[in-house]
Amino acid sequence: MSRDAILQAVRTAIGRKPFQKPVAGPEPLLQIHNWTAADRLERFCTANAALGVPVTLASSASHARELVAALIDGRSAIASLATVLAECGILGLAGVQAGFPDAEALRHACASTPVGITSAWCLLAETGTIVLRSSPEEPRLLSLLPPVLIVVVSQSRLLENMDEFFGLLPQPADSSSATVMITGSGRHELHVILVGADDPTVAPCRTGQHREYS
Amino acid sequence: MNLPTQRRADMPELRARAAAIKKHVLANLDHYLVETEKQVVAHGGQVLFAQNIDEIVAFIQLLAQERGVASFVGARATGVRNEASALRRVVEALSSDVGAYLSGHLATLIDAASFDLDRLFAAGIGITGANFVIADAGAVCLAEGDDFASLAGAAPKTHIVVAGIEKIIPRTRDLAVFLRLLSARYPGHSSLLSGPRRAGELDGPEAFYLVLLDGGRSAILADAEKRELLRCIHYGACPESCPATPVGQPGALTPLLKPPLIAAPDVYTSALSDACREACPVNINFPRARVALRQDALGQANGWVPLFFRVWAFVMVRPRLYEMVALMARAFWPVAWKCAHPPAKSLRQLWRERSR
Repeated sequence: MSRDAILQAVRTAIGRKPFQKPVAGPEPLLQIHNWTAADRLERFCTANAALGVPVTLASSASHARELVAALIDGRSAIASLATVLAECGILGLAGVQAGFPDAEALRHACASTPVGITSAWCLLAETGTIVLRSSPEEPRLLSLLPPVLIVVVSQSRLLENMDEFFGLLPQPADSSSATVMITGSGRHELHVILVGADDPTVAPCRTGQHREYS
Repeated sequence: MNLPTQRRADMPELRARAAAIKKHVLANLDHYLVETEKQVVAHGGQVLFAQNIDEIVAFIQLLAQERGVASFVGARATGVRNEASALRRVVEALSSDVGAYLSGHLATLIDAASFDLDRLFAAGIGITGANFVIADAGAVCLAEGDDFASLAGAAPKTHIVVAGIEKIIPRTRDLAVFLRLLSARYPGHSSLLSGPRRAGELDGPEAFYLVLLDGGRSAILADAEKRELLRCIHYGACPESCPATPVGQPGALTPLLKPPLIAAPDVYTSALSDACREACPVNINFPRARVALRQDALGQANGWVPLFFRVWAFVMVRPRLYEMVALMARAFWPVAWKCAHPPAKSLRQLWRERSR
């Protein structure tokens, strides 16, 4: 049996006995900045500007819906069943398909539709990262296959960095089979729409005129 | 989209911590292997330990037969975004072994040029590598420049992850250190995958296997001088920093990072400068490992190599004999070697003439 042979070889190599407790490992390296909401927003926008990902601020739910409608531009799209998308009325837009009876239908839809719309579990301000978690409402393929990906997410989901994320959710693997962190657009055309209250103190991302970062 | 290498102010801190974590894991590897196995099973997956690539291939073939699967899809676990970084990341040893092996027989490697949706959906088994295996979560982390590996894991009904036993890190939280390090060079797509799809999820694999490969790693682990090589996270800075590496070549360090370590001729190509050690994010002492490998090579060498060095040692300690040999070498220098002809007078001759 390879398992026991390998474990035996490893134990011999490092001089340990079966069931011997490990010595204490290094402490986690935590970086806590205590940024304000405005700081986070500014950093997220700056990071994504460097990555070439347009981030748009939507002042209200209806504004977010208009922005998504403009991005879809008459093409067909598939959306996840995330709460924020339903709240913004995006699921009701013309050409937007949502909710799939089975895996086969989902695959076909994902493979043939040009635009995918999802929400995100959180955003990381430090690196401009979008964190998606697969769930019954938000399938994995939806963010992987369509060439254009629109992420609509509430501003309250802006976290500082990975340390804050793992602080809130120490074991992401327990409740979802996939947690995906996307930084930059890669193969896709990525758009981020932040839904939230106006905050006129944020200089680079002044709302209302939904300034784009590109 | 390509970013210039981002300079993070916290790099020294991150490197020190990454090295400490890897060192800790390697010193307690058996514990973390058992922990990983326990957690993967707890998350609905299965773990297989394999001694070598042949065992993995036999396992995959058996699984394919059992499930009636005819086609595979694989993805390299590299951070390739363009050709240049692909070359940089040729050091990725394990997963390309499997990928290349399978591509010759049954499988297709996904790459940007030949991305084929039909093939992806037809495949019954997706095979990927992993950058990190997280012990306390029973999860694997694919840190990629692109998302092809994620696709290969998400679309087929069975997802097999092949990872070397040294890829383990203790906690999910430690990803914050390693992903920050990697993202400083390769921003992109990283995913944390564990187990088959959960109740209610519409996609993701129905079965999840983690194959932990020894492949000579336990032997490297036993060697104190080479153990550090197993810390490698495929950051890719060492071949870049190496003064002996021609531009555009994979790097003189490649054979060092590809277990099982064989003392290939390549171990002589580096000048033993410290550049790679300084560039290494997990503080691997490459020069020391290289010297150890050269000694191995000498021990394995047979025939004329040890004899040559014995004769050489005999000559070197006898100045008169040495001068005679040098004189002969200058006189009968073979033009065919196309080496620069040695100067007419040796240093010792010049020295004597000057001090006279």
